[in-house]
Amino acid sequence: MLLKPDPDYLLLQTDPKGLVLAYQGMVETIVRKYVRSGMFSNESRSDVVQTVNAELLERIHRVQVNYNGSTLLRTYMSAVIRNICLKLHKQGMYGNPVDPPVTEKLLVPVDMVDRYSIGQAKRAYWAIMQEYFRDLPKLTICLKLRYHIKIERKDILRWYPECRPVIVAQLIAHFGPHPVHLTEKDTFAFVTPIFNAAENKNNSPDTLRKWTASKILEILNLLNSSIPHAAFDEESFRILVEDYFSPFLLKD
Amino acid sequence: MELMKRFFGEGGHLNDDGVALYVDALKLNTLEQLPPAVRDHVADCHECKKNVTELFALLDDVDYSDVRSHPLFRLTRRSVWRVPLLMKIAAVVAGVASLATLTYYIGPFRQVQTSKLASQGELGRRVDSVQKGQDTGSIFQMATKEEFAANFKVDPELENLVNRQPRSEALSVMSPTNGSVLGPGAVFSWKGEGRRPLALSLMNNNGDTVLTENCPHSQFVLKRRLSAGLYYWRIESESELLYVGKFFVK
Repeated sequence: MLLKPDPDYLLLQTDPKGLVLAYQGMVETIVRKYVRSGMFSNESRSDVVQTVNAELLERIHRVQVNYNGSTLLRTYMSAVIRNICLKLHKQGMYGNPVDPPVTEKLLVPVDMVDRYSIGQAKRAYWAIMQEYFRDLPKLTICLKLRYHIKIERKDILRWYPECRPVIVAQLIAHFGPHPVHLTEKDTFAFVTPIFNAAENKNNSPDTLRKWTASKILEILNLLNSSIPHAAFDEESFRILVEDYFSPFLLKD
Repeated sequence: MELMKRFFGEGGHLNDDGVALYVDALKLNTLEQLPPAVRDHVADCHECKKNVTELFALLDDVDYSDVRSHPLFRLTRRSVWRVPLLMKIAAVVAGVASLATLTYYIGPFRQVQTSKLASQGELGRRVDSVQKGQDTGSIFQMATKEEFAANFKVDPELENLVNRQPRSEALSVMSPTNGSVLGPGAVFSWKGEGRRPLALSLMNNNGDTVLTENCPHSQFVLKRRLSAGLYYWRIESESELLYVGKFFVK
């Protein structure tokens, strides 16, 4: 197997205009997604592509200088294309008109409706959860507690590796495969002492409950900004989380 | 400080490189290899989470399964290359030769300052342990004996290419000799006919590209200091691999 340098990188150095040409597919994909999200109007799609290309050609020498080779060029270029699209949107260019007169041209063709898939939503949810990094184990448990999704031993030990076996057993007994039905208030009242022991803190159950609620709002904001037509609220988010941990409930 | 300049922009948030790196890590499942400063910042910053999540969503249907190497991340090999018998023998011979070199270089624990490792692929050599409480802006890493030795381990695939004749008879390598020990100032030179643009690449023994340069004058001078290890270098035209050599850095 011959190992070759990233051909895109060589192209960037030797033929930057050729690189922009090679990334046409990426430009059109990203613009299409922004048209579907409503950021740009459908009829301006080709104009947006042209403008993005022109801007890319202007910026490509800056890319040659700024790109430090620490990332894949395809990802870096996607970030550049995204930035150009956001700049156009900020300048109010190519957007959908406000309070337009009703005409057929303004109706988005059926195939353009952003029918996001469950798979796309789950991947976005997974990415968001990873971004919480050190809070991921705690957040996982809190979401499961809030949505009455069964807790597993691995969840507890990822969050609290030193958790005593008797405590693990208690948690599994209450919130595992055969959960005891508790209200949300009682659930967090039960687990707060364990969280306090794990974190060496002295928080009230309300603190933990509010922390969980604030994280859910953050996640909803992140989900809805990345998949605009999804318009997740807490109820649909609950279904998504349930499906994420129990993949047999909903099909993609 | 090097890290901050590389991945962070104004306001202390991730720049395009930083966002792209995080998305690379998500796509390639290499989050544990992210620089801790990048990972920790995103964990606490909603704005950067938004940028990462949105870019990740834009690339949702872009396939990354063809990615075989990354400038920063060590990727596990997805496919096993079946080595024919002759090449296995060649690999064993090369392995014995490398072991002899390895015993010369293995020493006590040593510190590697990664702020000096500015080139592509160098961070792929980094070890996992970071001395706690010593975050002074540049990351100091302690290399264990085993991890240091790994830097000299032969790559069987590349090693076999070193022993191959150049594809093009018109290319003749003047320096360096294979297996030389090199440092900053080392000259790579060759004679070649034809006017094809040629590029020189340096790779570490993981196959990660450390640097790539276009060489219109059939010569390249190594200016930067590389970390100790075994390296391969190659000359390529736009369409074919012309030469693979190897050298060591002490």
